[in-house]
Amino acid sequence: MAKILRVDIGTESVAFEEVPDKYKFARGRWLTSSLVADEVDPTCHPLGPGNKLVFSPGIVTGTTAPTSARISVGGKSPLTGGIKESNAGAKFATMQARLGIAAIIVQGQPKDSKQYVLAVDKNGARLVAEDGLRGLGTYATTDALIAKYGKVGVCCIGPAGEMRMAMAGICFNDLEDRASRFSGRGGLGAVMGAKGLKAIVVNSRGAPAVPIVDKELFEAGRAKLTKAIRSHDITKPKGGLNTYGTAVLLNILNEAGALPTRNFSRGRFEKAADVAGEAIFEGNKARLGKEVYNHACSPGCIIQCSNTWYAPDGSEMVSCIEYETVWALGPDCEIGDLDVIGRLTWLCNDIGLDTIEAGGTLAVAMEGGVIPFGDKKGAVKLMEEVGKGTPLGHIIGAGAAVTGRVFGVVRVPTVKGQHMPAYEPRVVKGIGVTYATTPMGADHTAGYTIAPEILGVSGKVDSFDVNKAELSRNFQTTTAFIDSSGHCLFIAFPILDFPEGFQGVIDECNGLLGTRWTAEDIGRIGADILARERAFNKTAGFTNADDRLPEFMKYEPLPPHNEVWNVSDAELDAVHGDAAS
Amino acid sequence: MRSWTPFTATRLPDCDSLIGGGHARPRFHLMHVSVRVFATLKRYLPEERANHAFDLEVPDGATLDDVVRMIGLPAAEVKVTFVNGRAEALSHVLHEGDEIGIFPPLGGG
Repeated sequence: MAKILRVDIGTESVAFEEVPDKYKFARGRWLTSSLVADEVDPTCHPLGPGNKLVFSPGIVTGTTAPTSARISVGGKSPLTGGIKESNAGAKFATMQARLGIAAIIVQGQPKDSKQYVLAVDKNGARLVAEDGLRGLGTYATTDALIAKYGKVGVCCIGPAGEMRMAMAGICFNDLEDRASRFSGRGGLGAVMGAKGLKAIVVNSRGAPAVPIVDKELFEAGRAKLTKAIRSHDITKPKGGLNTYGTAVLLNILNEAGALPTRNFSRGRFEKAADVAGEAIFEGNKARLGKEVYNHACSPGCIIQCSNTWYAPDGSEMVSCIEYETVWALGPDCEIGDLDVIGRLTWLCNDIGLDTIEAGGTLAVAMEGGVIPFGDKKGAVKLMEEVGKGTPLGHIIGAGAAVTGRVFGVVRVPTVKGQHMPAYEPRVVKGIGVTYATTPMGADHTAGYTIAPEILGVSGKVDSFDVNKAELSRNFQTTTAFIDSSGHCLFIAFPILDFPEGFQGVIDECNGLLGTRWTAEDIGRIGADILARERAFNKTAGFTNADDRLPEFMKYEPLPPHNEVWNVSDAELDAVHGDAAS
Repeated sequence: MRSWTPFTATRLPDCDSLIGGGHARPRFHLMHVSVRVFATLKRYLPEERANHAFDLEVPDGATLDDVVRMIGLPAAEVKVTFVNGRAEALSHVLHEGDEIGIFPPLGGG
């Protein structure tokens, strides 16, 4: 029987509880958002005692379901002031699921400035006061914890989380124990820091298998999904993702004129090809003398899109540099040098930062005249200041909205205080609708309309068409369920194109839970998750006026298409169709 | 790589100078487009074309589909095609100076 592990930092207590009946089937984002909505006062200070941090693996996580080792982290975001769910692929997820812990809830506040490590295994949980990790980067923290606790799944924060910076993420170790997988968005690392929790280690040795009600149905579903993933051009072995990683998107977004460049002032970067996935693949080949295909971030992933960038001497510089990361630290800052982007990525990982917010904020700081655009040394120095916590480092660490305000910048590409990812909404209208209307703040993963608007997945849709409410709504709804299933969002590519793959996901869930869900139920569950999240935000003070893109996009035409943001407010409000927020 | 028509190898005189403006152009009029091919499709091109945009002479009225065949790409592996930064279908008719980008199935995010 699955349990909830409740950790109260103020009383230094840990307790296991039964999962209430209302959460019987809820896992992943479904459970984190439900628990946050039910237990956290939406008006509380995100860094105060009222906020809670919730960790939940997905429905099929810990089983043999392919590419399903996702961990959702939820809480009230110090960056947006709204509800947040941010998920990562990590063995931590598998281990927590194998231990039968549907959710870890971290609540309260430390009585003094104590720091803790939470250790969880099949015998229970212990909250250990631990001062020796204070101020350490995520790499050293992870190494120290593995040296002490053995083969564990690690979840930790770096100095940014300890300093409660609003761009601090939560870091997990990958299969090679690199500190490199992040629940990056929304500043949840700062919430963990405010709880005085430096790390959680989980060890599932000796734990039983995840219980499955109908093994035959589960296996049938798993086989369908596996076949869909293995046969789709994007996700198959040595396909686009496995060969070039997510950074394969640089060139196509650049070609579309939708690669935000120089703090969202152009849609093309002349050095895009120099930093694209193809350049990473070719660069590694030149430096190592052999082709390097990508690896899995977490157990059981058959897509394997995580890359590594190697230094000129053949040593490993950093893993992983994703599309969003390359873009934020590269084109958005007018930096076209993979070695500099690699160094900045390593720093973000070590300090414990969301790379989208970090790179986007550097670009806003460049706009504000702190350093020039394209200043490689200056960018590295600014990032180091964030890690050291200098006054300027704290300003940058607070994110793009704060940095823009401090330096009097008008062109600040945020929604609900969160920086936009790597797709220009003036050119790709549907993703702009998602940025504006997801409860998460500007977030591409919340409703990835890029699939039909740019990539031709699940049909082709004109990216310039302004009628995108329905498209974004459908993506947001389905995504809320995928984020709860435990699967990586990248299964969306095969299941959008192959209906039997989608049915495979439903069969897996029904087999595991003993439910009889249909595709309609999946939509209903997704809509229910979104409604809970929006209700939280409404009580927190959000209105429809917060479901908007920044004003400058309405009057600044973006080269080369010279498009402005011209989706009507009525279209945006039609996404959720409710009166206020 | 397959060879295509003689038009790719030989530059013909500018037809407009022969027949004057205002008339329908003869079929053999050539125009110039710029082509760039990305990701896994690059393996079908010779080295000098694989990593850069290259100029191509095509007959007046040529479509994106014609270009895909001319440069020897397997049509089944072509997923998204752009002309001047706009996604266009393979039946799209090209114009002088068009900039073309050709992509296989890609995903990420």
